Amino acid sequence: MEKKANRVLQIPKNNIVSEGYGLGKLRVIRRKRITEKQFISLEDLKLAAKTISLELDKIIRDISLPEEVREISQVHKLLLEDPFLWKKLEDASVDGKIKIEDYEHIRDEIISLLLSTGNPLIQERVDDIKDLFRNLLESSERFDDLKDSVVYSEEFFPSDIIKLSTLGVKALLSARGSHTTHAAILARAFEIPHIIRLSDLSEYEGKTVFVDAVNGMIVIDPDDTSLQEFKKIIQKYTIEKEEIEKYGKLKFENVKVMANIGVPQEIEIAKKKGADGIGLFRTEFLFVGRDNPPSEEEQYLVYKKAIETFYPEEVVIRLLDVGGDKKLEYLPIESRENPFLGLRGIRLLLKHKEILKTQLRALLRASAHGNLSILVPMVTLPEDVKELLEVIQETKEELLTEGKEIGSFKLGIMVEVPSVIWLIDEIAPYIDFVSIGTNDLTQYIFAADRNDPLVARYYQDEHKVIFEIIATITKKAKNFNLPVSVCGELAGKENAVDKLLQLGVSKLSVSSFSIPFIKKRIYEIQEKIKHEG
Amino acid sequence: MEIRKKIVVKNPEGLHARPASELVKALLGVSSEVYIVYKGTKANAKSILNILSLGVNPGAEVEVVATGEDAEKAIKIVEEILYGEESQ
Repeated sequence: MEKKANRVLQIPKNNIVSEGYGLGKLRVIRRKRITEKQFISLEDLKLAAKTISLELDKIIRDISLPEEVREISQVHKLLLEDPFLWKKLEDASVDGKIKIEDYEHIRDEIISLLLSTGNPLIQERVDDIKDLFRNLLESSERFDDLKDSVVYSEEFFPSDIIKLSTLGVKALLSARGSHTTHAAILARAFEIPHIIRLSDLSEYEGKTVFVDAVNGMIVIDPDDTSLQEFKKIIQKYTIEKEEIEKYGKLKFENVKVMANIGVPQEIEIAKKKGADGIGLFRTEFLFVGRDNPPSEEEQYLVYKKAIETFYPEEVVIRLLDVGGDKKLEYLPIESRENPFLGLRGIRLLLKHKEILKTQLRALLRASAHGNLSILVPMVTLPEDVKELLEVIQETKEELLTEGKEIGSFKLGIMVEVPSVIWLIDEIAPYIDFVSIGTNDLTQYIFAADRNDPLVARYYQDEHKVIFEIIATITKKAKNFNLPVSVCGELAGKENAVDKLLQLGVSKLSVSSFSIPFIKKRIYEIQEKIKHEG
Repeated sequence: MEIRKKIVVKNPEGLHARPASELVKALLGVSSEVYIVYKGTKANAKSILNILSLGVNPGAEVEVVATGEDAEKAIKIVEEILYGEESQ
């Protein structure tokens, strides 16, 4: 028999919104235009709303379902019953009938209203509105034949995920989406692997597909040998997953397993998964996709919540890290040929001190509520830290003069720019800890963009060079009694844990999902050491 | 009876989906008309769409207006859900 060739798509890990493995036949959901009809009766819409509302009620009352699912269903129910929506629909109806184009016009008007808030978290709710309007017209859409499939759609709506989860769908693939949509949160809550930002996969419909939403890979039409191997991977993973949750609760004496988070909703998930604190709280979500920078108060309340939730454990909050691929509407940064080598991280903050100072004021005030550490991104020279310390001192004095309460906090730097490897001795006296960001470090060391498949073979975060750098950093940090953490993807790789601990890394910061897996690995290592005496 | 009160929103989520839905649910049992005024825009506090379209972030100052027999109760509900603090 002729051997089949695997078609493998490498996927940037940032495109994984829900981790896991899936194997099944690829099915494609093609959305029809909202309806072929020209009119819809108000009565039919009310009937559909009632039916969907009853379905949602069942979910809301089902306490065996994850809290997130019930909360999102509650929001959908209230949207369905919204007086503003029904007033619009009634006003648009003539003799009890609404033109479909008017119906779509009302939908678009509501979407524009949400978009005009300039608030990314509210703008994410646009998906829920699209979902609502589609559902009211097509509540009869059936997915029954999708059992055990890997499903591709241009985008998924929250109600799709709820329906698909009951059918035992193996994985979700889509062209659009983001980490913070309700659909993504639901996929994580139902533990369905989900990868976004994929090109159209329709041409592979019907083919067997293996989805690796852990390492970032999709294999289309795998050969028999690979297929057997994938089945083993899934089996091992499924068995481990059932067993694994209990490891999340373990605490170790000399190492902490903390969570990397990017939005406030993840604070609770991290806590549930057993995080020993937050090792990397990215703050970009507060700043991007809006017209104005967040106020001091807005930031303060978010930081305070994270810090209070984890007290007495540590919460490491990273200063805004934009530039590179992330831009701010209200802070025009001139386009450069190499944005990753340009004005980003602390470099940008020192140039725009108004943004830095507001963030520092919020952080320093939040420090009064628990155990805060501030992490500085993209440090290149000791001068970066010295200049930042001056701003911190100035901010502290201002706050104290205003009678504001400040707690104690630690200051640390990301080690991600190669120069720091040789300058760490000069920087160490000014800081309390270091955190090695292996993703950017690997990019800069190997001069390879991790999202560019053409240079994928140069991006090797498990290369001996990276481990040697970590060894150098931990050795130097030890001379200054500085704890070292690793917060890149490398920290979440089970086979790297042993090496990292041996090198003296005392904190690993990983995605919430990986926490029990990494704790299990540490437990096994420690047991092995015990037995070998 | 009409009551007006300016408060500062201390809920860390501002008036995003979760607190907005809590608010609408909590106001189901209130007969008064309740509005939230933010940056000159008035929103029906019993409509999740109206509330979301205000785009209220944590730390923002809003005015709550309640008209009806149980206006006082309505204001209290809004304050509780938004962890509202009377603005100075």
